[in-house]
Amino acid sequence: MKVRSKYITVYICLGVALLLLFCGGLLYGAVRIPIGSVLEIIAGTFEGRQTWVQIVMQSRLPQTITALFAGASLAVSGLLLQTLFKNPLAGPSILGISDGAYLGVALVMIYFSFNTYLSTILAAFVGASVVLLIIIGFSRKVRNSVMLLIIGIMVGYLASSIISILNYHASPDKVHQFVLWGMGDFTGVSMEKLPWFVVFAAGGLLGSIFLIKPLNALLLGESYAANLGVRIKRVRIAILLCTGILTAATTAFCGPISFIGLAVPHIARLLLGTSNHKQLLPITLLAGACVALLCNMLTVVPGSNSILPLNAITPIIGAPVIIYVIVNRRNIQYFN
Amino acid sequence: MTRQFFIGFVFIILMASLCSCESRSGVTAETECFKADSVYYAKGFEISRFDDWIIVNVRNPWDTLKTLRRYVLIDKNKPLPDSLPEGIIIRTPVEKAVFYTSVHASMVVQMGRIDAIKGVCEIQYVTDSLILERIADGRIADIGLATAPNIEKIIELDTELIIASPYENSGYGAAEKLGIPIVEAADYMENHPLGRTEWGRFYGLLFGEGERADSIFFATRDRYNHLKNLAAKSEKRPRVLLERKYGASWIIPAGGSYIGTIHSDAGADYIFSDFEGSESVHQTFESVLDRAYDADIWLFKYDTKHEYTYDILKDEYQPYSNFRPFKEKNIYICHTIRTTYYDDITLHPDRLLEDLIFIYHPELMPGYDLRYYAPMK
Repeated sequence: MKVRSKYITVYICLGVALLLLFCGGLLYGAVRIPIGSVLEIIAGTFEGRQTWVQIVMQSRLPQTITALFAGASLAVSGLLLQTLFKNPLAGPSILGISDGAYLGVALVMIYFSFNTYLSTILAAFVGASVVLLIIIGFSRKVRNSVMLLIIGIMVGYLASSIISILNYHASPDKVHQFVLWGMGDFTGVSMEKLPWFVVFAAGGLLGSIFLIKPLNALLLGESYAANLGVRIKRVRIAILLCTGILTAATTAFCGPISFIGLAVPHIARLLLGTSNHKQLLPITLLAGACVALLCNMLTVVPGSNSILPLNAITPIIGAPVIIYVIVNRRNIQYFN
Repeated sequence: MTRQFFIGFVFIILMASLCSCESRSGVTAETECFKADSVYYAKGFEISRFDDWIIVNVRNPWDTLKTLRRYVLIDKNKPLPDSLPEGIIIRTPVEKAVFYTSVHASMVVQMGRIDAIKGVCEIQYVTDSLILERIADGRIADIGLATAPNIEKIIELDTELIIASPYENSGYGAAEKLGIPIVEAADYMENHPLGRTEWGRFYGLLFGEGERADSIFFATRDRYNHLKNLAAKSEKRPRVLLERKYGASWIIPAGGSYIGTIHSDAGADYIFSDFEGSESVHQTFESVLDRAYDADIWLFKYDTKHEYTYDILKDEYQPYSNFRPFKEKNIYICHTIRTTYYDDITLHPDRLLEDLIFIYHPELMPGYDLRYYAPMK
């Protein structure tokens, strides 16, 4: 009962924070637009400077929605991976899954002149899935989770070294494109592209909600879960599909974003004090969206018109959480 | 005794002052041989000529009070003098040089010394057809990345000189230990277009083409200033927006930069000319839209495989279509690999200026054909 009331409190707090941060994303930006005007713009009754309408509706709105879904997707895929590998340090960027997606996109960018959103997402998905399959393959042989993590890191290195070699032969603009893309960016998704991103991200998130029960069973150990009637193989494939879609969609549209996938599930566990996915998953989803919205706002340097790269901001929030988790590992019961 | 001592003392004083006069006159003799070349636009280097050598001081572009490098250019055909001034000795004319950037290699081609180019880094950026031809038949070697050049190749080529673009607080790694002089070609840090051109005079001295390089510079200078005066006659100054968004930021050249200067000289009202200094500034899309939505003309450079069209630009980022030049189809684009843009702008900013004047004031240049930019379709 105690856990449940805590869950409701955290749920409401995060819901309110999400709402505030969402509004903050629309109100705050490099150009100062009065709150009244922003509200009128959203209501469609604003009749002043048209540039402001364009800024709010075509730049800030899609950027905020992108941040919301990207944050939620990365956090949830981080949670799925941590449960699947029973490893608190698993996450899309650590296990090389983002790099795999990155490699897929890089291949498409260089060798195909047509890169539609669909082909980019597909390439990112294939790249992410291949890395995931490799790691799952190894997870059967290597039981030690730290060793598996190291294998993940190595696969990530392999993917990035292939990317470097591709870059060497790529035309200069492509190299430039990669470097910038690698910094992470919520601004690249315009209103027209947004539905594509939202459909994939929402699909992956919805799918992960259906996985709550088997995820809880996995926490008890595979043989126990099998005894409970969970089809381990199917569940693994379903988790792989969900994480693949979530990581691929965000990486394809926003570039590889570090730390959100790794750190947010821990924030959720610290807030809740439970590893029950029924409560953990929604909280991770909300917290991921909040953290991404906050990071998105922090990229705009107050008082100036300039902008910081997103991946310069996410570690500021993510890294201390990870260090805290590692230091207090024995006191926090995660995968019991 | 006192008198004798006094005479002795006076004698010593006299001798001492005579000696010192002699040594001072020695200095004077050397100073007389010295003649400084006037440098007109460049702020980064100065040339001093002596009997047996030429000294070129390259200033640190990031701290202009300091000297970055001091080069002592000595004629190869003369014996090496016994006493040498402090600095990096370069025997001229250089016959085997390796270039970290294609831009400098192309400058040397224009001075008629393509034979001295033995290697170039990052050949994918090369647009000069003569260099490309020699790369194809192996007379010019590919040295790899400028950040990680192929050291063994540099040694194998028996290189006499490396020409590199310096970056702040970064060295040249293993290349520094080869004992091959490295010329730090900091021309890209000059803020005036002709300042960059003037660096050609220094490179000319290295390759024994000092006079030719001087004449290229003076011709370019006169033509540039003539065109600038022509543009100044026009009363209307179109408001200009430059470049486009990369990733999350729109990199805006400052008003005092090379780009800011040349657009202003071409008779444009550069929207961000109030950004002080010469360094580019990262801006958010919304702040650029807020200031520049009603620009008259928009120019950007690109180097993608595909051509840019209004549809592709809109597809890349839909909010671009809010700018007035987009709506009124006043966008001009320049492909930096298919044109010789980067190879030309250092020695021939006048050619770029011509293009820009034609775009901003077509009435001033009837019958002109654009060289680098083209109206977007």
